[in-house]
Amino acid sequence: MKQGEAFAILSAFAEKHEALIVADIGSQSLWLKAAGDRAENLYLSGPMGMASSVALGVATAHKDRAVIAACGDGALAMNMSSLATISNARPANLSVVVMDNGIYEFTKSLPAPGRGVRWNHISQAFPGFRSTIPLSEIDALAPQNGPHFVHAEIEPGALPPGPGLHAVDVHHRFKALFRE
Amino acid sequence: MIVRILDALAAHNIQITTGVPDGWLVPLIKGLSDDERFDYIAAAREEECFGIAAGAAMSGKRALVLMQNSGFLNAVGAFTTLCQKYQTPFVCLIANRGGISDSNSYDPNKYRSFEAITRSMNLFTHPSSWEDLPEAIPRAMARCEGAGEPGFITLSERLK
Repeated sequence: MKQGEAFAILSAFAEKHEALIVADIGSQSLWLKAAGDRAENLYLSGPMGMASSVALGVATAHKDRAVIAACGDGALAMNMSSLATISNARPANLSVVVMDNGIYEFTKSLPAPGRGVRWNHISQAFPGFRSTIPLSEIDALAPQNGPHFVHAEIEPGALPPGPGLHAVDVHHRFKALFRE
Repeated sequence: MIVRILDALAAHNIQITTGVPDGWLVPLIKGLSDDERFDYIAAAREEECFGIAAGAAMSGKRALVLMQNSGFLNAVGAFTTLCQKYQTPFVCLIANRGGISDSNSYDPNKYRSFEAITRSMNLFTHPSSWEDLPEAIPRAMARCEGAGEPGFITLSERLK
């Protein structure tokens, strides 16, 4: 599966559940926007690996909303400790998705150290996660009954176009969702 | 003292808290963890704290971060390219180890580096005492929201 196809599946799932998505810098933010721009998409443009932590903050702030962290395997490998933090905190409304192509797609496709991780065994190593499933089974997921981990095996591919949104605009567009 | 701080935080809707422990901060972390008015997220590393606080801030909620000065040194990259870039307001309470109250041989470099880096980055820092925290944290939060940036309150001694 191409990353664009994986994000089309993820974006459709998010729309169905009115979920908020926090996407890592690079191809995750770009492919998410290419799948369909929504105010509920929080595109990160730095630093690598923070999507899982930012999503934990969003999930804590709005426990009535399903929240998805869309992470690259290279990015999540930079912030593996966030899985321990999430496992311990057990936010029921958070799902972490890893897009696993084994490379740094934005850095000349160099191999990523995430190759050393069994992404499909995360909930065994981090038992606060209630489940680890492949992306192909995401439609069966109850996003308010987590936290869950979703493993998306994807092929390397061409890069999408840039998001064309400034970080501050992304921030304020997202925050406006919650104004009473 | 801790009850006064907790009441002040609750009165100002500062409900999301996260941190990595320092010995000086333990009484406050215990208070936050045991009080149902707050979410305290025990983070494994300080970069995560900045991510969590930025996520809360971009969701329209107030957040307080607690860490040692060396934790900020760990997390400068996340601070600059996430919190500054996205202009996320929150307050970070720093145990500023290695100053006049510390005789530990392993602390002075933390103090020198924290002071030098925050000064050279022109960051908002406010030295405070435990006694002043109930007033200082809400005021710093209001200041950070007005400025659209995070800010730091530093403590130079343990709670007595």
